[in-house]
Amino acid sequence: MAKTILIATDYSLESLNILKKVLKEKDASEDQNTYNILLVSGYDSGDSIRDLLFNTKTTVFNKIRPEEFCDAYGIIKNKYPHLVNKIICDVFTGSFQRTFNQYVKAEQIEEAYYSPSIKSKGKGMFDLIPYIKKCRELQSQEIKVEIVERLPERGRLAEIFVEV
Amino acid sequence: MFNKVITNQTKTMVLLMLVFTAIILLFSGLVYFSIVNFSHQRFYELLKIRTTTIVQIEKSKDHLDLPENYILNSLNDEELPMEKDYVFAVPTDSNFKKISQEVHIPDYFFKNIIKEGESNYNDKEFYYIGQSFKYDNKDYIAIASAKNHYVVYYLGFLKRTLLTCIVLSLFFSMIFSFYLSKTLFKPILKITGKVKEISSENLHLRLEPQPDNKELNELVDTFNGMLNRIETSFETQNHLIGNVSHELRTPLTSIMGEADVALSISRTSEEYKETLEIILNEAEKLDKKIKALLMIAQTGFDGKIQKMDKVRIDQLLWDVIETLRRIDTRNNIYLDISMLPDNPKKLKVQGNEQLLHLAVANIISNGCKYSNFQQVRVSLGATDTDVYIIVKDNGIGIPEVEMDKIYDPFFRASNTNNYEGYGIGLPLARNIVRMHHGELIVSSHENQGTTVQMRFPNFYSTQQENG
Repeated sequence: MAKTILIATDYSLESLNILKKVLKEKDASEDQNTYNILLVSGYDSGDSIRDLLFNTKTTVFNKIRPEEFCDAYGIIKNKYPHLVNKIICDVFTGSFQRTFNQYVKAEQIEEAYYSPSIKSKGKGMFDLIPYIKKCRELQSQEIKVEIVERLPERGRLAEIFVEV
Repeated sequence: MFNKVITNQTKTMVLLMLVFTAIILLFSGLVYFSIVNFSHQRFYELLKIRTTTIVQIEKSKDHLDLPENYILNSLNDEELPMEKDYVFAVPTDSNFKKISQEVHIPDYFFKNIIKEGESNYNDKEFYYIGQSFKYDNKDYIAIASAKNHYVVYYLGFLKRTLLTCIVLSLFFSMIFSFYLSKTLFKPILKITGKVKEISSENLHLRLEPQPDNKELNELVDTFNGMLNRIETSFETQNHLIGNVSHELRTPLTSIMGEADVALSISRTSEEYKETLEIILNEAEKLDKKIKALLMIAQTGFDGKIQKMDKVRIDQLLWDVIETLRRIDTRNNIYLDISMLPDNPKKLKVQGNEQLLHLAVANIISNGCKYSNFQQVRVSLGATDTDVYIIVKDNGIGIPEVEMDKIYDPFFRASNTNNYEGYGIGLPLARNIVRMHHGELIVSSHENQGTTVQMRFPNFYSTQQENG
């Protein structure tokens, strides 16, 4: 059966380095499991009744997720097809710890990975790391990701090839 | 002159106007005649009520003594405009001529009333409806008549209103059709103007896509694709001719120089032998180069014919790197296969191997050249639909202000003066990538390096698109 793991992301290409590192580690340890990967960011859907009624996940993703992001995780998925069952992007819209715990339970998430250098900011996103740390049912692990400040290919898919 | 006026724009305008006019006339007629018809029916209904009333009033009288041939206007109060009511006994000989002349109603109307019990008739102004009834075994006819004011005045007004509306709508439809036909043909005229600008001197010009115009954008894309192919073949040939003439000239100059030196004064046989050996050596080099050229011609690409085959991009990259290493041993290229997909099928691209080789080799050798032979990292990855090649160097980069000119042929960035080159490599590579329905993106910071991202749709997604 496929295990579900959560990766805290801000839908930037450098945040996929967490996924790369996790899969690399699992591949190196000859892990026999397959994984459903949830790339999750916190998203504050606001108080506007119009937004609450008419905003769908697609409209939210159109706003916060660049097109290159999907191609980039497609490349990673093709690199480790034996490990990845599917990759899903999602947003957590709650604002309480117990809501997050419920989310973890409902999605049957077993492990979570995050990097303190990837902080979801702007476009209505908020950081999931405090929730992940406080969730007792979740095995969480911090991943170190180096962010190069000035990079010619910033925002392009090529960024996914920078760090190995 | 006449042909100049009859353009597609005028035709569209006239056609639109004709359609508008036909629709407006049709609907105006429909409205007018339906109202006329309705008013007739309604008026006859009113008159019928009047007739029935007359009949009832007459029947309610104790004694009805009417002369055979006389008409009476029994009702004094006019319910309808200019109402006239007639009640008279039917003549015994059923001859209505006398009455008909007196009241100016044709006698067939009376005959119809006798025949059918009820009938109606109208002249220009008056409407008549008549009923026959029996009283004391005697036949009588009651007729109610009145002027249809509505038809006379109101419909006249309606007619005038409709005519004014038709004239106005024709005027507006003319303006609208003129505006519409102009708007429809404006992008085409714009494209035509731009196409006229493109000649063999400025083949790098491209048509701009028109916003929100899918059909025209397809035309623009097709035309741009054609320009890509033409420009690539033009530039490849120019490039090839330049390189070939340079390559062929070097050994020839050397042969001529040697021969010239040998002939300038008399030499010993040893010296002649040495000279001839050098000449033979150079001639052999020349022969090798000509053979290589022939081979290029025979293997498919002559700038015109493009063979499209299945190409494995990883294999292509290995070949390119191998070739570049052989050309210059200083080239330091690292092939990063950390993102190489598990399934090799995802690395197959439909394309022309020679052209792809040329494009990728150009990009990588540029990386090597402009980074002073520091390490150039070539990465390979694939999504389910596309193959990506990323070439990253840490070289001199491209100044930000010059980024928009990098695809202009013969353009060389201001910081490249110390490096050899013609400024053809990048535009050529981009055209080749475009010919393969791919995309080439250059990102660069001055003195920090350049990253070139190439995307090609993989063989299976190309097949699906074509299928």
